[in-house]
Amino acid sequence: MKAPVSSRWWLLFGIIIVIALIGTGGLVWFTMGQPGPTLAACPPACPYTFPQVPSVLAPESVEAEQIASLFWLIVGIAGVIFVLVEGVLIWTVLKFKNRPAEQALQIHGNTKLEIAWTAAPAVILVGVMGLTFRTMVDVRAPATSRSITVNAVAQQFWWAFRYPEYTTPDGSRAIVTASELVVPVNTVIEIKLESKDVEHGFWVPELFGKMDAIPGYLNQMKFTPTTVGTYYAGQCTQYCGTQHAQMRFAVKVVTQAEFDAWVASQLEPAVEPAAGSLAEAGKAAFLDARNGCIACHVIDGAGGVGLVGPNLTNVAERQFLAGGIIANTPDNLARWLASPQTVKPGNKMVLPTKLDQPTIDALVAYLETLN
Amino acid sequence: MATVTRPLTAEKSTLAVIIDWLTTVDHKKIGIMYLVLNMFFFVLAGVMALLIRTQLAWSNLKLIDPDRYNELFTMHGTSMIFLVIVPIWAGFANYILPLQIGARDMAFPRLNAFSFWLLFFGGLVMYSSYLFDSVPNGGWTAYPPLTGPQYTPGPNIDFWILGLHLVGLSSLFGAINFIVTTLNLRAPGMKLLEVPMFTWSMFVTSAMVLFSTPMLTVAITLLLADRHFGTHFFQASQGGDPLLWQNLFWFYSHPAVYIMILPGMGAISEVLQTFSRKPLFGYRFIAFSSVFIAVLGFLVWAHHMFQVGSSLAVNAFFAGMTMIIAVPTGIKIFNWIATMYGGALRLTSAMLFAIGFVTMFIIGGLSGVMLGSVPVNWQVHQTYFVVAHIHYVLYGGSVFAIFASFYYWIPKMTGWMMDEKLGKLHFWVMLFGFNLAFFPQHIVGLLGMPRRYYTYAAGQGWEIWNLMSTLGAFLIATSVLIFIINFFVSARAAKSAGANPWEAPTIEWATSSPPPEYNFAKIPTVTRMNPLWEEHPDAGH
Repeated sequence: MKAPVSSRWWLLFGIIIVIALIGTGGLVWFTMGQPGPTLAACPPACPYTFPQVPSVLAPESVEAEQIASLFWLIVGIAGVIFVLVEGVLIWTVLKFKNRPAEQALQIHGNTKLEIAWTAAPAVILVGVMGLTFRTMVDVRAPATSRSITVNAVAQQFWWAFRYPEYTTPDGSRAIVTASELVVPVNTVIEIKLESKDVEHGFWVPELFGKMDAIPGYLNQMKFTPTTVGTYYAGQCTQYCGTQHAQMRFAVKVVTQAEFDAWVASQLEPAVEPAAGSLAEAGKAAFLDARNGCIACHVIDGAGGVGLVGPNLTNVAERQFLAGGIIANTPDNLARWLASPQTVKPGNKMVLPTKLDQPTIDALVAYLETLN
Repeated sequence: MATVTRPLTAEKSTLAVIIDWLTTVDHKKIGIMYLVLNMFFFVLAGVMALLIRTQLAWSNLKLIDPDRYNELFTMHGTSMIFLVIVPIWAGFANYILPLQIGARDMAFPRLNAFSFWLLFFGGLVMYSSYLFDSVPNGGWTAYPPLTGPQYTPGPNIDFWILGLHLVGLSSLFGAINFIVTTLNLRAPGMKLLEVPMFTWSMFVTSAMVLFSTPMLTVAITLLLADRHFGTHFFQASQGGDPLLWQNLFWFYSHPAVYIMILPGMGAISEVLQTFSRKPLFGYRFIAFSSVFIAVLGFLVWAHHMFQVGSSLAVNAFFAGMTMIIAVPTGIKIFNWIATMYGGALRLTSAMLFAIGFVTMFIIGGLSGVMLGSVPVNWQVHQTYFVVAHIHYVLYGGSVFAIFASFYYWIPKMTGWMMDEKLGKLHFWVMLFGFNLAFFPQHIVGLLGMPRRYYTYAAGQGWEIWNLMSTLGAFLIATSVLIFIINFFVSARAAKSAGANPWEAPTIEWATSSPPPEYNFAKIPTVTRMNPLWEEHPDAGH
């Protein structure tokens, strides 16, 4: 019979753990100091920091609330089972360890017990299934009669949001934003998901579970936000290539009045830059084919044909740039225009030629007027 | 002329030994080659895991750029599944299964060698991608259209496909071999439903491999055709269907989860029985629950696809099937506890890993039921919650069972004992490290951290949990190092094992350690389960 692990071995166990912890901490500290390609062009404050810690357990919509309740119920059931089964297991090990061999009972089984521990989990699981099916039906029932529809269009590595119900009076142009979804509170938000290239996933933990955007399919989901005023972090959840990690979007939930004002301002035509201003030079630079902007972007009322990159109409009203990863400030915009591949390596914005500083300044001045 | 007499026991030259191993069709040598190869890939995949964990230890770290990171998690997952856990059970079974049923070799020894070499070259093809700087980068699930010709034009995915073709064939030939061997080569008197539980599990697992692996081969062949022969099976822009891939892929890859865990369940059933000195409780219930799992395993694949927008009815069906699988799994867990109940437990390293398997698998099973609940799945799938779940099942489950098997059967394979103190140290460091690494991932997943992100922004409350995970990962690596040191220290000490060091009941322990080439001088007649115990006058029945 082997003796149990002696205290000397427990000491060694402790020493190994301490050394490994210190070693790993050192490695991480060393790594944090290393220059690297990611966001190296930004000062420390540049990457967008979240206004709140995201969590699926802090639901802010009717549907997410229902899912969170279901989660807690199942966790409760699982917790009881966990404590009971692990408890019996550990008690058995401690009770019967190191006994003399001849004391071992020679039994092969017990059919009644087998039936009992087949039936008991089956009953519990039927209960969990019932709860699951109920929630599956509940989250599809509309929480209120007010609703709006938004088309979410996923592409490597950013999101476009189009509001087909909100158009200019002549119907020629609907509201389109990039990386930013503005929705009114206590309204059913119907999201229609499309993908222009590979599979992506749409997820805002506080608002609803995730759904994939699959090329060739039009998936639908809905949620009913209940709290005003916060940016929720939306993110891509289906691996989509190099910058999957930085394909984010912000969801801003506003009151109905704020939403109406936002709609009105989005539909106003862009203000013409004053003659002779830097902004006017910027507009010319935007429309200059040599700079490449119009190949991928469009500004309604100004020009451009491209549908590859984000629609830049009213770009100055947006809070974030580059797929929701940096704040939309003139400095960040200039940094982005100077070298998009440094700020977000692998993104699809490729400049035909490096822009010179005066052009960048003019472009920034122009884009900042678009609100 | 003088006659030169060569002694019969002459030492072979090194070259002769190498050629002997390279050309062997002996199931024991092939088994050892499998185990060595799989452990090599295990260490490689572990190093990749450490790189991944270091990059994620804190927000905005800059150790690895995004493309390299994507290659790392692709190769880590692919290696652990296709080059470590699935084939390592073929390695153990190669060595142990014929011995357990009293056979002299596998039914098809040359096919057996072919299986090994297919695996060897499959791994080689996949890793040769590093020489061409064109490493597979589509994730281990390789969803098109991302992996199609338009979005991954380089040969990255081709290395993955061609490697998997070879590995899949290896797995398939192995399965045929194990099935035929179990059906036809059992010792006289041994009934099919009285074979040792590890053999039974390999038998059921092989049936699953037989029916599921062709589907993987079909899927990757269609992808290859899309990439090179102008077909559009998965390319939506030309009328193909990306979801076809998901259905085909998961039709293989969900059964694959059971292909990875059932043999481990068989192995720990034997370890628990031996070290409780008590016959396995409810042998038939454990045996048939495996069959039940194997059948249900083919009916749950779409629970990987709850977020693709299927109808309520489809999702409800797959949710129901997924939860039902917890019933046969529960049967096993209760029977294992009942096996220990009333026994005389010896807490050897092998036994500790077997108990560790049961404790960790309970956690993985419960989080599996949560994931089966569709609305909860919508929230936690594709996050670190699911990463935690799969590691509790495949690491806390399968890998713990692999180490239990090593400690249990190494004396049989080598003739010497592993050091028990180092073995126990290995166990405790690994158990602690494993839980430190993976339990916090449940939490960070609920905090909204998606998987397959090479970096994350500050201010989301994710750093501390990630740091814990990273510390845990390095502890796991430390514990594996202890295992490797233990192996070489024990080999040098060469403490003789004898035929049956554990006083185990099954007949692989009736022959010498290591067994002679022909395994048994005389094939035993086996009329009862646990023959080495039941012939013993003290042993009850």
